[in-house]
Amino acid sequence: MEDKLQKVNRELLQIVQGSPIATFVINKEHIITRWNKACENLTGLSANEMIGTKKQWSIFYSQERPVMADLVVDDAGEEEIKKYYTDKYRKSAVIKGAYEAEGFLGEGVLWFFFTAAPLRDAEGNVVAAMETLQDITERKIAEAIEEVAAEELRKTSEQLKESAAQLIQAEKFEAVGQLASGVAHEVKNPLAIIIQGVNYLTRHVASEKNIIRTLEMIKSNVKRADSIVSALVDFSRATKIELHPQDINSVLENSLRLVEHKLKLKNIKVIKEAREDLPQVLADKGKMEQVFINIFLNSVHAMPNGGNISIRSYLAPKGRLSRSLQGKGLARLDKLGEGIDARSEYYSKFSKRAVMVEIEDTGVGISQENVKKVFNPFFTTKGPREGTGLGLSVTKNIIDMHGGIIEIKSEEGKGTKVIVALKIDGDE
Amino acid sequence: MGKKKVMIFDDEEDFLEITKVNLEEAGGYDVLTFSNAKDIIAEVHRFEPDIILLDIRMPEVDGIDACQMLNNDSIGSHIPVIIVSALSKREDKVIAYKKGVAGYLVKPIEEKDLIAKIEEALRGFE
Repeated sequence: MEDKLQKVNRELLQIVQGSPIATFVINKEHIITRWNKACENLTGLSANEMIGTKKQWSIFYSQERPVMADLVVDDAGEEEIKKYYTDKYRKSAVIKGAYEAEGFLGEGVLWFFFTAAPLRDAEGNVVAAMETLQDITERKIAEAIEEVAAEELRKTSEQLKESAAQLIQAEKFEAVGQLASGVAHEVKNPLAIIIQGVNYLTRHVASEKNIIRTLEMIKSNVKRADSIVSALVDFSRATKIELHPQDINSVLENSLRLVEHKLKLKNIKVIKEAREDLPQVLADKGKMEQVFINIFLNSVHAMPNGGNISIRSYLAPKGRLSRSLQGKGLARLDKLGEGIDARSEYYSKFSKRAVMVEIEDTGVGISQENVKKVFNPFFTTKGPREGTGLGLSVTKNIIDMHGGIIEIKSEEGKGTKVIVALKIDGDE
Repeated sequence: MGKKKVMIFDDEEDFLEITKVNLEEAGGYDVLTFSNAKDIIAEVHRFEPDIILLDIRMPEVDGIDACQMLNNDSIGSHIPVIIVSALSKREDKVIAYKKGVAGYLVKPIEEKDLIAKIEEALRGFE
C-alpha cells in the first residue's frame, strides 16, 4: 500500500511531468533533477542526457553561465539577477525569491518568457529551484508586426493631417486670394477716378504752387495705394501653380535677364557657378522667375553702392541627406559639406535628392531680429514708397506651393544668402 | 482731321465723367459715356464710334460679353475695343485678348496712357 506521502509525491511528479509548460528543476548543487516532456519538446534535449548534469545553460547560451534557476537556488539576490538580466527581469509578485523575464535567447532565434522559483524545505531554506520556459516567439512576431502596422498607421495619419493642413492652408489662401482681388477691384476703381481728377486739377490750377505740390502728393500716394493692392493680388495669385519639369539654370538665366539693366545701373557684378548636369526640377517657370527676380531685386536694394551677387546651383545628393540625419531636429546642412543650414523640415520633405540654388549678395545684410520676420506679409525695411513688404512673403508662398524650402541667412554689414531647395522631377 | 469719336462703357459714373473731361480737354476726341453695356449694339449703330473703351465688371452685360456682341455685329466687329478695367490678373487679360481686343489697361490709369493706347489702337485699325 502506497502511503500518503508517496501518493502526494507521485501526483506532484505527474503534475510537473505532464505540465504543458517546459519545466526543469536543479538541486542546491546546480545539478538537473527534473526535465519534463514539454522541456524535451521545447529544447530538443532529452531528460536522459540532461538529468544529472549541470548543462542547463546550453538551452540558451553557447558557453557556460548561470541561468536564472542557478541564481535563485543560490539565493543570489536581486543585484546578481540584475547583473545577468539587466532590466529585462521582474520580481514575482506571488512567490518570494522568484523572478521572471523575457528575452531573445537561443542564439537570437527564439523569444522566451521564463520564470525561476525557489523550492524550500520545512525550515524555509532553498534546497532546489524550478525554472519554466515558454516560447513566445510567435507572440513577439505578432507584436512586432502590430508595432510596425501601428507605426505605419501613425505615419499615414500624420501625413493625412499634414495634407489636411495643407488643404486648409490652400483653401485659406484661395479665400484670401478672392478677397484680395475683390478688394483690389473695389480700390482701383476709386483710385482711377482720383488720379484723373488730380490731373484735371493740376491743369486748371497750374498757377498755385502749394496746390500743385498737394496734388502731386495725392498722385504719388494714389500710386502707392495702387502698388499695395496690386501686390496683394500678386500675393494671392501664388495659390495656383502649374508644375512642369524645368531646368533651374535656365529659369535663373531668364530671371537674371529681366533684372540685368538694374544690376548694371547699380554696378553689381554677377558671379555664376551653375552646375551644368542638374536633373530637372518640378516647377512653375513663371512663378520661379518671380521668386528669383524678387530675390535679385532685394539684393539690388541691399547694395546701393554696388557689389556682388553670387549664384550657385548644385545637387544635394541623396547620400548627403541620409537617414542618419533625418528626424534629428535641427540637422545642419553644413555638416553635409555645403556650408549652409536648413530646418528639420528639409529632411522630412527631402529624403531624396534636391536641387539647391544659393543667391548671395555683399549688401547691407539683415539684423538677426529682422531676419525672422522677412517672410511676414507687409514686413519691410524699405521706405513706405519703396516696398510693399509682400515680395518675400509671395516668394515664400511660391516655394511652399512647390513643396520646396527657402532659407535666409544674413549678417549685418556683410551680406545675405538665400537658399532654395527644390524637388527633382521623378523623385517622389 | 476731325475729332475721333470715343464711346466709354463703365458703371462708375465718376470715372466716366472725369475721363470724358480729360480726353476732351486733351483735344481731338468727342467722348460719349454709358453706364451700362446692355444696349451696346444699338448705341454703336447710332453713334458709329472710332473706338470703344469697355470696363469688364458691369451689371447686366459685362465687358467680355459686350465684346462678343460686338464681334457678332457687322459694324461692331470693325471697331477697335480697349478694355479699361480694375481687374489685373493675367487670366482676365487672356480672356479679353481672346475676344480680339486691341488693348487692355488696368485702372488706375492716367489719361496720357489712355490716349497713347487709343492712338495705337486707331493706327492699327486704319
